[in-house]
Formats: sequence, structure tokens, C-alpha cells
Amino acid sequence: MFIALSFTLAASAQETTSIGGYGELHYNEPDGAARGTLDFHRFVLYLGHTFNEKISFKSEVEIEHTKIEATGSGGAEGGEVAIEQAYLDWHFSEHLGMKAGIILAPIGVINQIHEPPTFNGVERPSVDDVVIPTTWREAGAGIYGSFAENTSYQLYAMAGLRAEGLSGEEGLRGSRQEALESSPMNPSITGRIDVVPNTDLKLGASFFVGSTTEGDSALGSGTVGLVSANAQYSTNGFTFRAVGAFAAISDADKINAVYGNDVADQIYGYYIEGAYDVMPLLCAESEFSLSPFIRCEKFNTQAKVTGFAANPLYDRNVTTVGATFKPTFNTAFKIDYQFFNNAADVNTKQLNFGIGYSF
Amino acid sequence: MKSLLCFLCFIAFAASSRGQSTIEDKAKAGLHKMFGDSAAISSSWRRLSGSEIDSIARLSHSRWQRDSLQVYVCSAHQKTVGYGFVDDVKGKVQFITYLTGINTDGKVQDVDILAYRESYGGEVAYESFRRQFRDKSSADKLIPGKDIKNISGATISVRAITTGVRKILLTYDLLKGTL
Repeated sequence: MFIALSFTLAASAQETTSIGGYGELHYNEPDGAARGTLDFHRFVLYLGHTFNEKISFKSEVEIEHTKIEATGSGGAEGGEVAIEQAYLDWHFSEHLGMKAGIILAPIGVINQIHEPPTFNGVERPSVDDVVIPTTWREAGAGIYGSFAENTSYQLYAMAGLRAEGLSGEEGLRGSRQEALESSPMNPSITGRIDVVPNTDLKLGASFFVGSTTEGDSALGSGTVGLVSANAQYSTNGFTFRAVGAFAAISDADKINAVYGNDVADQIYGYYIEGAYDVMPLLCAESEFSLSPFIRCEKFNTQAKVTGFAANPLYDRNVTTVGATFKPTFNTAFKIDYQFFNNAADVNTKQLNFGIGYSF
Repeated sequence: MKSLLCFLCFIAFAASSRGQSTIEDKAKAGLHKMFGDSAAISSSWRRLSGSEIDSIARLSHSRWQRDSLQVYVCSAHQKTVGYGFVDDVKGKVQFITYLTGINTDGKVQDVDILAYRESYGGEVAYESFRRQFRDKSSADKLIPGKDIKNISGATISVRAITTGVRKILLTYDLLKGTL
């Protein structure tokens, strides 16, 4: 009996190191005279280590756009290398765990789960770019767990955003510190609750609040408050996803007086997406999936402004229609066509192909 | 910032000082829940041959990482009412330890998650997910996403548990004449 028990525990208690990753190759061809481009957009490696049954390390290192070049060798064009996650995870029980390190803000859907086979479309939704600045990560610590059947929570304190990076066009995106010699002067709190009433439906609500001005009275408080909600529903081959986010920035007029970036008082964005797996209709026994989809996004990074006129270029809509073919759950071949327009009546289109994987 | 650090230290202390029960204790508690509090539980070890392991792996797409396994036998009034199998399957990084209870008809009585160590995907412990396995047998293919519904954000754990339960049902089928 002793040997039996030891064996069962040993399988999960020994130290192990694991490696994984995900990646995506994109082809983007704008409508018109511009040429298309092939780009291995993301190549990501996970490295994880299990110290014991409770404590593990998890990390994600990303190379974007395949390479970076030193300025001395002909130019500074290229991508970036970034550590997007690196944290110790102390999992006390199903009710309580603790993370500390570089962690993800638990906002929306894509910021935390962004492996290419998990979402439709070659490119990530635009709302998850400028309204929820994916991949939003900072140095921080906090707790997570499940406090009731079907309900889980996350609550973290992390380094905040910087006022000088806020902008009218890209909202919060440029204000992330990304754990690069980041200032602890704008401590922020972020969290979320997820509810799974049944296996078909998952509902989430998340928030972020923190100052951006490091106590500089000339800039005011610069408090950014963001709330987001999401719903994911799937049944009989049909999947549906809706995500919305709203952000308010206090003292945007003072920030603009110093940096002149046309920062808005309010930003919002949302999208809805529907897809249907037609493979069972084509071949009932197939384990592949083929899901045509449509996604409609609306977002405005200058929804409300003070002291200047909002730029209609930043009041935007994107409609994406396409299909995702998945020979396995963690590999995807994608095609889509995107229609971009805005309140200034500037309309563009783009064709995209992509492959994606995770393991 | 200091108050945050104090808060985190308190949580760590409180959590680490909580009583810990072993996987063995959790497995027995899980089997009592499945087959009744009065059920007597014993266990024995069974060895699997290389060809048996290969055959199970081919049909289940999940391979036993050892050649012997512990089988719990649950009895009531000197009559066997069910069996229990504890197994570890790999999640994204950590192992998930789960219990599968099988009744004497060869159908799943229930599945219980004994230890979940990942920060994402814990939804596999929810009743709404686990109840999908009840009354399934080795005749069911248990294809993840079709026979067993996926949960958004928990895909790797859903697949790991689903292929694991299929492996245990096939193993039970192989051993049932000798249990």
C-alpha cells in the first residue's frame, strides 16, 4: 500500500520542466495598389517548471516579425523580443492561488488566451488592440481561485500605466510599462470574475483602475478606470462571442496640456462574432472543423474629449468575414476579408491568410 | 505597496497552514460520494502488459505512463458495487490528478478532480463539466468537443481529462474479468 501511494504522488510531485509555444504566419494584402506582405507575426515559446505539487514557474517569450536588427547593420526595422509572462504560481488549493512576476491583466478574452487556434480571424480583433491593449502585462502579484461552484476570480496589484504614453489614436496602448524598468508609482488594481452556468456558456466581467501621473500635480490624477464584459456561447456547432470595454481617463485635459497627445476622456469598443462549424454537414465522421464566421467591431478612442474636437478617423468600425479550418484543436488555417471604415468616411479593405498553432 | 505585501504574506501563511489531505484520502472520499458512505473500499495492484498498454493507447490516444495501476474496489453488503481508478494527465504545464468511478455495468459513475494545479482551466472540476461523463462506457468514443463539450479557456484540460477517462474505460474493459 505504501508503495502504491508513493507511486501515485510521485507522478505529480517530481520536478519537471516543460516547453510549449504558439505561432502565426500572416499574409496581409490591402485592397488597391499596395502589395501584400508575408510575415511570421508571432513566434512564442513557453517555458514552465514544476517545483513541487503546489509551486510552478510559467513564462512566455515572444519574437515578433521574426527578427530585430541592430541599427549598425543597416537599419532598425524589424520586430521585438519580449517576455510577456514570467511568474511564480503558488497553487494552494482550488479556492486560492497566488501569482507574482510579470502577469497578464485579466481583461477581456484575448489578453489572457491568445493562442491563434482559439480565435477566428488572421488578426486579433482591433478592440483587443487599442481599447484593451493586448498583450497587456505588467509586473505584479495577486490571487486567483474559485470561490463557488462554477465561479472563479482573479485579483492582482500591478504596475500601472504612464500618462505620457496615452494617445488619441491608440488609447491606452502606448502607456503600458511592460515590466521594463517600470515605475511602481502608479500602482493599479485589476481583476475579473468568470461564471460558467453550464458547459455552453461562459460569462466574464473584469476591471482595471489606477493612476498614470506618478503624483505629478501638473498632470492631475490621470486615473484610468476600465470595465469590460464578455460572453462566450457554443451549442451544436455554433459559437458566439461578445466582448465590450469602456475606459475613462480623468484629467485628460491636463495630460494633453503637457504631452499634446489628444487623449480622450472616454474610450469604448465592442465586438460580436458568430461562427458555425459546417464540417459535420460535409463529412459527419470527420474530426476536423471548418467554421465560417463574421465579426463586427465598433470602437472609438475619442468617444468623449475636452478642449478639442474629436477626430472622426478614430471612430471606427471593422467587419471581418472569413473561415477557420482546424485539422486538430491546436492547429488552424485561416482566411478572411476585412472592411475598415470610420466616421470620416475613409473606407479600406484587406485580404488575410494565416496559419497558427499551439502546443 | 507595504500593505499589499503584508496581505500576500498573510494569504501565503494562512494557505500553507491549512490541513492537507493526501490523494489517497481524497480518492476514498470521492468513492464514498459516488458509491455511498457505507461502502467498504479496498485496493489492489494490477500489471498491464506492453501489448495491453499499446492497445489501450491506440484506442484512447492516451498512454499509461506506468505498467501497473492501483484499482480501488468498492463493496456494500459483501457485494462489489463499483471500481475506482486514480490517474495523472498532463495539463498545459502541471499534472491533473483525477478519479474515475465505474459501476458494475461498466459505466462511469462519476469523475472527480482530486488535484488541479494550473491557474487556468480549473473549470474541469465544475459539476456541469464532470456530469457529462456519467453513464458513459467503453462503447462511447468520448470525442472532445463533440461527445464531451469543451469549455472556453479550458480546452487543454478538457481534452486531457476526456482522453484520460476514455483510457480508464478501456482499461476497465480489459481487466473486468479479473477484478
